[in-house]
Amino acid sequence: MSDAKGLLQRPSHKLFDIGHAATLKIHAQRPGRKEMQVALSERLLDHECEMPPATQLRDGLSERATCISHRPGLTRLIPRVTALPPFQRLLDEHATDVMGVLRGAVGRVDAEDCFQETFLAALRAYPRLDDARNLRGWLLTIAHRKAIDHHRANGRRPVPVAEVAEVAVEDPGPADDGVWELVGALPPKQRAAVALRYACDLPHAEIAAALGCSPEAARRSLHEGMKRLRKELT
Amino acid sequence: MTAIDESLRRLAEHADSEGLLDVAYANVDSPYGTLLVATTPRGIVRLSLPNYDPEEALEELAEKVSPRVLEAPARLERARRELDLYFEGKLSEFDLPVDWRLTTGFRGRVQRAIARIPYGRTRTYTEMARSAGNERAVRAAGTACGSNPIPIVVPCHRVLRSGGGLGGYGGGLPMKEALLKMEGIL
Repeated sequence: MSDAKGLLQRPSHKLFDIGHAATLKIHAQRPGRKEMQVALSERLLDHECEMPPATQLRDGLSERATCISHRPGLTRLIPRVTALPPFQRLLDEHATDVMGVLRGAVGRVDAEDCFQETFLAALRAYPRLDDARNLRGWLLTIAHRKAIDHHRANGRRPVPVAEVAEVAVEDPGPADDGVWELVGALPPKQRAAVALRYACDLPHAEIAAALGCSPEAARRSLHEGMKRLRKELT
Repeated sequence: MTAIDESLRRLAEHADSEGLLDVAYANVDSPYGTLLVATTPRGIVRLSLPNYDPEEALEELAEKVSPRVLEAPARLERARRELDLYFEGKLSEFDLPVDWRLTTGFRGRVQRAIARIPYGRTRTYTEMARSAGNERAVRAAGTACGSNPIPIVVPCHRVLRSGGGLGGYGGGLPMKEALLKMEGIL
């Protein structure tokens, strides 16, 4: 530990000469396993790796430490808190929920575009993601942002017209569509909270994480949204 | 196909056209069970045999190549076609680009030498060690065959013991035997 602290005070370019190869070797042998990450984190504490001081001091040494190598292709020696799973697994586990949230937030027709944008944005950022512990929350946060972008881009209420243009739409969907239409008419925060709660079964804490607000605020948005829905339905 | 499957198919297409599809994979049926075949934009990077856990293979790809791993069968159509023909005995040489990035050093040299063994012919582990530049590293050549990331396409089943024994095979000896029989070797 004291070694690591000492190292942190050295100029960063001197930090990877020693012990580096051994670390690399372990990494190459069996990456991605939790045990190994623990081993690596310990190695980081015991040995010689650079940690950007700001990161290092923010969340504690072992958790967020990132080790940067000068060698091309080996920019990240000390893994994230957990290894990033293949992106396909995120799709297998969360795509349906993300679609559910988006349908609640922007409606069936526009949900598809938001879905594509959400996952393309996620794919773009994925390799640089530091913390793989709450991938679901991360995806839902992106989805929420995309839904807000969508509303901003539309930026207006529907305008009544004499004749409605013919637009291709997907299958009519389940019988509770009427309710979701009302959900779609709620203000953005309430709409998102209701969708996250009832389309995805998220607990308040995760809704809060996805909306970027406190759990109390999430609870309040949900409550307000539900109150308004009840009023409109009775 | 459900609506979400259609959305996912479209996503793989978009990812591909935006250069975000670092590793595309597909499950391919074979007479021996399901193979997992993965490709990068450079070429086939991994083929895992039926007795290997596909999830594990995907995790390894996520670690060693890129975590942007997506199921995208469209990207593997050509590989699937060639594999089908090979298993029907109608194709003797794969014409697929290979991405060698999962192999390095001596093992890499052995595996590249394996790729040059013609259909229906065999080599010994000793010969492979020699073609990789170190005749005495027979055991290492054996390990190199065993760690071949792209079996079948890189035909490590064509490497046998000097005495004529079958040696080993990642997919199990019965599969090695069956492949050799199919190629008219046994």
